[in-house]
Amino acid sequence: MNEILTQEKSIYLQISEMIENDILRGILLEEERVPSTNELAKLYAINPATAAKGVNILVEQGILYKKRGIGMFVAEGAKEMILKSRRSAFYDSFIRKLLEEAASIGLGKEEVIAMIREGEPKGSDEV
Amino acid sequence: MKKSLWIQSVRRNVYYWSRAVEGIILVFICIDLCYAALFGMTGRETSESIRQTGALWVMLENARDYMIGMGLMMPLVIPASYGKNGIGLTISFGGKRSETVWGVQFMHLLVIVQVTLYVALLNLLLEGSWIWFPLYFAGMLISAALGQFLLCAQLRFNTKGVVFTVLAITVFAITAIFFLVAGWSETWGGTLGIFWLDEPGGLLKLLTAALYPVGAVLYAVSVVLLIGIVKKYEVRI
Amino acid sequence: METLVCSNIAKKYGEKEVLKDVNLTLEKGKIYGLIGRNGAGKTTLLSILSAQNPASTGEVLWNGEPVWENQRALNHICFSRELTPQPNGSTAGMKVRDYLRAASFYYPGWDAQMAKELLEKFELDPKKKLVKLSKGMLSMVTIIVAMASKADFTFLDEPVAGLDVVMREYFYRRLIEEYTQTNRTFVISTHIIEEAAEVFEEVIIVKHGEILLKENTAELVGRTFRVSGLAETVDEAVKGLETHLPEQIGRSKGVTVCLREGETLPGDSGLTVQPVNLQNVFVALCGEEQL
Repeated sequence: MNEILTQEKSIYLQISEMIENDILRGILLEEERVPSTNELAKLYAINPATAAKGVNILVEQGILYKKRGIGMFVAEGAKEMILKSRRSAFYDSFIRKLLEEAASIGLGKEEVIAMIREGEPKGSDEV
Repeated sequence: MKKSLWIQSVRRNVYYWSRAVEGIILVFICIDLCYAALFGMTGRETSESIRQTGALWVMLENARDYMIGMGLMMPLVIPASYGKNGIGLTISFGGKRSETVWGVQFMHLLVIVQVTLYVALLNLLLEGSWIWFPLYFAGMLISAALGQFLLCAQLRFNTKGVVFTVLAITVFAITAIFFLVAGWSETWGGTLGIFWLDEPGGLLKLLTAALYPVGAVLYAVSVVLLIGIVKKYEVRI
Repeated sequence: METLVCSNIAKKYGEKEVLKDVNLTLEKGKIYGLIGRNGAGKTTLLSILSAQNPASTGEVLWNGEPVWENQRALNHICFSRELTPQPNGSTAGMKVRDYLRAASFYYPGWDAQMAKELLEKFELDPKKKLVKLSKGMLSMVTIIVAMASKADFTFLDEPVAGLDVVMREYFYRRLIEEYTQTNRTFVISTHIIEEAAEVFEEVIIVKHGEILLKENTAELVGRTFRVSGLAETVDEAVKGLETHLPEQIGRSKGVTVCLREGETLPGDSGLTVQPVNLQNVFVALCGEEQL
């Protein structure tokens, strides 16, 4: 939650990702209150509507829920939900890019797999 | 190298300070003429002769001494109103402090030369007496020194100095006007005539001889004071 | 190597110490960014470097020669002050043209052609009085004086204050162009840090009248990170490191870390480690009391 906002992505996406990260890391526990949109807005010096937009993404996904008059809370099973959705996005957001880059520098799939297995590329001593 | 620096310093002083006061003598002449006109209209004797002869010339002739007297104000007022600005500006543009002090003296010189020429021309046209001329010059020296003291007050005390300057000039002007009006009036005319006219030349000579050293000392002291104050001056523009 | 050196400069106004024992070396051919909060002493420092204000103690040296009352040295220095014409101040009745003309008398290398070109580019009316100008237009006048002075060491105090984004962009481009052609040294103070960060080769941070640091901008930004995550993990990871601006919400904590030589951050410990920009560094170093 205390990361800095960058310009690479929409602010509201960064807000929702930060909350997700905190849930994954156990910084925010299930059934625990998350900071209000006003608190988030103040922390990052952003418009409260933007902060609300980030939070609402998570509400729609059922990761957060609203308790009337009290605030936003982390839903039960939220961590599981986030893991599931991130895993399903893993291919698109990481593997595809990895293979594209590998192809563009002439590395085959097998070589990439070998690298992952061994942890280091061959001839790394040159680096 | 050394010589070219010196030339650079003189050149920019001449350029800057002559531009700062350019045209000011014309403004002064206008004010002086207005003053003469006002004086000519309201004075009893003068308005009588204007009515009789219908000539503007008579008016000028009558106001001559007082118009010339106004010239004494110039070396006081000009540096007090242009000096501070120029000092701040020239230092901020990389001018040496001592250099700008000499620039101010150059401005004094310009003002005194212009006023002298104007007064001489006026006197010549209106066929006045010349005997008071040396005394007049001493008066301008003292006036310039007073102007420089006021400039020092402004530099040293900022706003307070400006207020003080305005007050001082007002007092000076009122005194001068009173002096002139008194000199013109019948009661005082005889007494003050001693200073202006050539009858008892001895007193005039004595006064002139006394005022020159006073003027010179005052002026020298004002320059030394200015050097000291400019050395510590903090530029604000 | 031509240098301008500030040695043990202190400045007091009455009891108030505006600068405390400042030592600084400016080299020829660099663009320095001078940043600091309001009242940190930036303008006073530039005034003393250019001998426009006397220092209480200490000395400014140009190639080893004292700058004070030294025309030869002063000919190489230009501090184009931020203009704030007061109704009865120095520049009250002055027109833009008069101001530039006065400057042209004084700077030995004055480039009249460039002054004219910039005047046109900025669409400034030379007949307008300085008191009638907007803040942005006054900035333009100070920029013209600084650029056209051609002085080897040129200081600009808040040159972009009041300029719109397009003009700010233009100014920095023109500055870089001038710099690459002449290799002059520029010191530029600004509060709009981020857009100038790429222009500054080195950054000088002034805090409470002292030079907090003077460092290559890229190196400074490169050794600073924002570390965030679970509070205990963060505390463990940054133990012994130089940290600033800690922020905590619940169990989440973030802290800005400035690594010193040889120090590293532990990798792969469930922490988020983010690069920062110059503005973040500045806020971390100078904004702690307020945020």
